[in-house]
Amino acid sequence: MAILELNDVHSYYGNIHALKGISLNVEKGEIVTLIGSNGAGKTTTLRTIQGLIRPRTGSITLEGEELTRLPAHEVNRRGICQSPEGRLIFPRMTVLENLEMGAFTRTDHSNIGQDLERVFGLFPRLKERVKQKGGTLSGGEQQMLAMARAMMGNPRLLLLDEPSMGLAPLLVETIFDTIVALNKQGITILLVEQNARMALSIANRGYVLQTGEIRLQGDAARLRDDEEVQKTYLGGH
Amino acid sequence: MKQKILSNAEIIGILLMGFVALITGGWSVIILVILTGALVGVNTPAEPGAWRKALVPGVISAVAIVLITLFHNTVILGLPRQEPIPAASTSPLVYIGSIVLGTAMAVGVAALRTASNERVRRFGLIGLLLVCAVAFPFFEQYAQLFWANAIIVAMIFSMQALGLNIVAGYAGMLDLGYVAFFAIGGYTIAFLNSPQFNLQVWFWLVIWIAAAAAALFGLILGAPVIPLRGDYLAIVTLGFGEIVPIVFRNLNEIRILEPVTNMIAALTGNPSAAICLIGCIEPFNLTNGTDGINPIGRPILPGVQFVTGQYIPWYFLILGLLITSVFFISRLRNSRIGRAWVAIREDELAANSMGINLVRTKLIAFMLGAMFSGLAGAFYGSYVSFISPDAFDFSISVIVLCMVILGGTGSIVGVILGGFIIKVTDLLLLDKLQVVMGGLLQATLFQGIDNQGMQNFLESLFNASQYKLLLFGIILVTMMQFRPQGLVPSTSERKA
Repeated sequence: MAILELNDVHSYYGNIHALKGISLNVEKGEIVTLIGSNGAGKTTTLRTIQGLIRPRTGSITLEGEELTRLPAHEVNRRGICQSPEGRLIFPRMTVLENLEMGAFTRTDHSNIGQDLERVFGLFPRLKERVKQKGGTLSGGEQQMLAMARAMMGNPRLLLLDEPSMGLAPLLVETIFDTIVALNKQGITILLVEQNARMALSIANRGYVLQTGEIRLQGDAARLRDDEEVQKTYLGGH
Repeated sequence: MKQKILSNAEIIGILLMGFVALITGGWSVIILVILTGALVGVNTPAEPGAWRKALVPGVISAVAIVLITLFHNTVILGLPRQEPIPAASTSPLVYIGSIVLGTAMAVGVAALRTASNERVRRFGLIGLLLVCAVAFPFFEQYAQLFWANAIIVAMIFSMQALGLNIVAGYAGMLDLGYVAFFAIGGYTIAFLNSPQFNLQVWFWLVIWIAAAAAALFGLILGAPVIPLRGDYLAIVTLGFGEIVPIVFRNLNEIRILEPVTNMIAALTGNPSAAICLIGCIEPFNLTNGTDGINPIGRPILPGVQFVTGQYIPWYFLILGLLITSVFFISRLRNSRIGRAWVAIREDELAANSMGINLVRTKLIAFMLGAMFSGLAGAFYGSYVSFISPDAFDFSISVIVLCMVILGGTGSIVGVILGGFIIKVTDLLLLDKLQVVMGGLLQATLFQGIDNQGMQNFLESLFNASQYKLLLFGIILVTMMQFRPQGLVPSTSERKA
C-alpha cells in the first residue's frame, strides 16, 4: 500500500484555482519528485499535504488514514515532517533549540537523543555549530538545519521543498547526496525541486506539474529521457 | 586604543540618577548611590579582576551623585516653596558615607558577578538585591522620603507588564487593550468585597476569582480574534480596551424588559404590557457609574493591618507577589509551552509545521497575560480601595506597553525595570520636578511679573506632570530608533 495517496485534490487561494485535480502516490522507501516551473503548484501541493492549506475537494491519505481535513499540527503528529521552502528556520534559536523544536510533538523522549546523534552524523557541520543562532548560519547550513529539524520529528514521510534553492552548485550536490543517504536509511521522501536534472537523477519516480495539473508521470529515468521534459525543464535541445 | 574611564551606559546612568538627585536631595542620596553603584558594577566587563576595574568608575559616579545632592541641599532648597529635608541628612558624614557606600556597591557587584564560586555568582546578586529590597521600606520611613506609594504602584504595574510580556514578548501578539483585564480584575474585587452589594468574600479567594474572571474574558475575547493576524488583533484588542471601561461606566442604571412583550408594548403603545425582568422598582446599579466603588476590602493577615498610609505591609505583600510572578513566569518561559511561544513568534508557518497548535498556544498566552493583569487589577483596587472607570483609560494600555518596550521585550528583568522607571517617573519624579520648577519660577521670572494670570499661565506651562504622555511618547520613539531590543535585552535578542 502506498504511504501517501492524493486523489483528485483541488486547492484554492481565495478564488484562484491552484491545484486542479492532483492525484499522486508515494510508496514506502521511495524518493518521489515533483518538478515543474514557477507557479506550477509544487509548493501548494506540499502545503496541502501538510494541512497548511485545506483542499476544497479530493482526499489525502497516509497509509490509509484520512488526512484531508486535519489541521497542520495534527498532520505533523501523524508523521509527516516538512523542510519548508525558503528554509524558515527559527533565526534567534540556537541550532540545538531548532532541532529540539523539530521533535516538539514526539512522545518517545528516550529516542530523541539517539536521533540527534543520527542527524549530527548526517550533518557534521551542524554539530560544530550547535550553540550558534540559526540566523547566523550560511544559506547551505540553514538548509541542512531545516532538513535536520524535519528529521528530528522521526517522520514516516519527509517532505522537502526546494532544498537546492539559492545554494552554490557544490553545496547542491552535498544536499542531494544527503537526501540519498537519508533514503538509504529507510526514509520515504517527497521532493519538490526546480532543479529537475538533479531531482530526477536521485528519484525513483517523478511527476511533472504544470499550472496545477499533472502533465507527465513515470519512472525518473524515463522522464529524464522524455523529449518534452528535456526541452522544457532540462534545458536540452 | 584609549580606554574610556566611563562607558556610555554609565554616563547616561549617572546623568539620569544625577537628575533625580537634583530634584530630590536629602536622604535619597543613599538610594541613588546604591543604584548608580549597582549600575557600574553590572556594566563592568565580566572578567577576572573586574572589581578593580569597577573601583575608579564607582568612586567617580558616587562623588558625582553626592555633589549634585549637595547642590540640591544648599542651592535648590534656598528657592521658595521647597519641601524641607531632615536636618540629619545634610551632615558631612552622610556625604562621605554615600561615597563609600556607592563605591562598595560598584566593587561588590562586580566582584560577585565574577566570583569563581558558581553558587556565589548565582545567588550573590539575588541575595544583595533581596537585602536592598527588604531594607528599603524601613529606610524610606526613617528618611521621610515618601517614595513607598510610588514603589508599590510601580510593583503592581510591573506585574501587569510581566503579563503583557507573555502576550507581546513571548508569543509576539500586540495587545493594545490590555487595560480591559486590569479593569475586570479591579471590578471583580469591587463587586465581591465592598459595600456595593454588601459582600465580604474572603480576600485571598477574591483575588483568584478576579484572576479567573480576567482569564475567562481573555478566552472569550481571544477565541474569535486570535486566528487573525497581527494588525487585526491589535485593532480588536484596542476596541475591547475602549469598550470595557465604558461598559463599567454605563452599568449604573440597568433595567431589562422581556423582549417579546416589550415589542408588543411598543407596537400597541401600552408600556405597561412589557414584562420587566431586572431593575423593576428602581434601576439596578451594578457599577455605580463614574462615581466608582469604595471602600474595597483589604487583605487579611493575622497580626498585620493593611490600611491606607501604612505602607510597609503593602510593600512586602506586593513584593512577595512580584517575586512569585517572576519565578512562575521564568519557569513558564523555559517550559514546553514557552518554547512553543518563541517558535510562533519566530516563524508561525514553521512552528505550525513542527506540530504546534497555533490557536491553542496563542490562546493560552493571551489568557495567562489576562490573568496577570486581572490579579494586578485586584491588588490595585484593594490598595487604593477605590475603583472608577476613569482609572482604566486607554493610556494605561499604552503605558504598560511602553514599560515592556523600554525594558526589553521578552526580558523579565527588563520589563520590571521598565515598569519601575516609568511608574516612579510618573508618580514621583514629575511631581518633584514640578516643585523645583515652581520654586525656580518664583525666584526668577515672577520677580518681574505682577500679573497673577500671567504667573498662573507660566506655572502651568512649566508644569512637568502634564507633559507625562509626551515624555512616554519620546521614550518610545527614542528606544525604537536607538535600542529596539530595550534596556535589558532578552537572552534570545543578544548577539550569538
